[in-house]
Amino acid sequence: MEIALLLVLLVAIFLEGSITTLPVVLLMLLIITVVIRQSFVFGVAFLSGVLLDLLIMRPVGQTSVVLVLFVLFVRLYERKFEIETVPFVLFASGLGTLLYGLIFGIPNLLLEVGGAMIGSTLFFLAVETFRKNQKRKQKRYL
Amino acid sequence: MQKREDFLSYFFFFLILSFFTYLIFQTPLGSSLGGSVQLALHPFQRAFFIAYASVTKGQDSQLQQLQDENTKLRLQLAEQSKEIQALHDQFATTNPQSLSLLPAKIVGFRAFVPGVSAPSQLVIDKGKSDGVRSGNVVVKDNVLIGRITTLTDHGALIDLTSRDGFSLTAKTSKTNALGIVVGQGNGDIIMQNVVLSDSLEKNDLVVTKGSMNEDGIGSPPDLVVGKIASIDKKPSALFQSAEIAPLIDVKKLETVFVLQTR
Repeated sequence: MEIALLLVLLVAIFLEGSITTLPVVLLMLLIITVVIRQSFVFGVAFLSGVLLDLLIMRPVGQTSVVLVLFVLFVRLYERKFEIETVPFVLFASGLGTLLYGLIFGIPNLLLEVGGAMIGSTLFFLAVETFRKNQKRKQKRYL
Repeated sequence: MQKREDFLSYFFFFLILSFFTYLIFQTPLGSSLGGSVQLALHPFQRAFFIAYASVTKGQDSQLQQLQDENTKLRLQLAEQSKEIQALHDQFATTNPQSLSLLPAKIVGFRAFVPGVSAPSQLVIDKGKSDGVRSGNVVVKDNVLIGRITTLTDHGALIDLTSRDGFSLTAKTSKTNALGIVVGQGNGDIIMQNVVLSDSLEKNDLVVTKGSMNEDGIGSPPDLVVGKIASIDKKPSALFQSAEIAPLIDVKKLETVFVLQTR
């Protein structure tokens, strides 16, 4: 599951670097942080940011700072509240996209926020459904 | 408690590493390293772009052919009407700068919904090592596409003419009305600050007035920006303005040319 999500993140990096202004890397990191609650996600956020900066000609390191901070806020929120829920993913993706768009000057920000919230929630639901099916299959074998 | 300390230490490590990376890549060595990595990533970036372009290209092919033919005929008409004027100007010019065209492949352009929303920037696979400089204009078939704003060793970012904040001086082809072309974002371009006494005609071509410095940076004259789609003229206003329709659909481009001085 983790490897699949990381591969999708790699595709997201090239998508955001080539053809879309939607912050798909930020949204994928949100899903990865929610599903894989491990500290190596900070490293993934750092590397994603570096690659993205190289692809879209931003000063290298800028996006890494934003992504690493975003992962921190999600992990801090996790200490008090449950994060593997649709409302949290909806809220975090919307707020994250808004702040990301304000920092990097993305046009059509409201459309981007709406698109990000819908897209990330749908993807999260797909991932959760897949994980539940995997768990059911494992229980049957046991 | 143990779990909290673990992720905070990871966070601080990667945050400091990000700042460190930022500083390193500002140095010439870091910039060169970044350029090499970009060069290695170009094929993958271009593959994504080509995959997207191949999906959108098949649509409206006949309509696209007709539009391309229409654009070419308009450009030929503008060229012929300018020939005599160009010859006249050439004799009057004391130090003409000869220009060359550097072909560059588009490796990315980012829009909210690819193929639907209008992009505001393009990324090309030519950079400082190819002689490209910040401020060079980018054209396709004598039509102005945009201006280079950010450069690395092997890549460049182009602000399109429709990008919010893009501006240059321009004039109309038939009536020689002077104005400023300003990008509005979302693919919209307007020509504003045209005095009321100048006349604007619908479908007239808008061309660059020319603003090159002694280093050859800037736009040469008579590059086509677009054609006038509608005119906004109010007798009570100081100036009139016009909406400009671009002649080329940027979403369908794969190659552009950087205008360089020799």
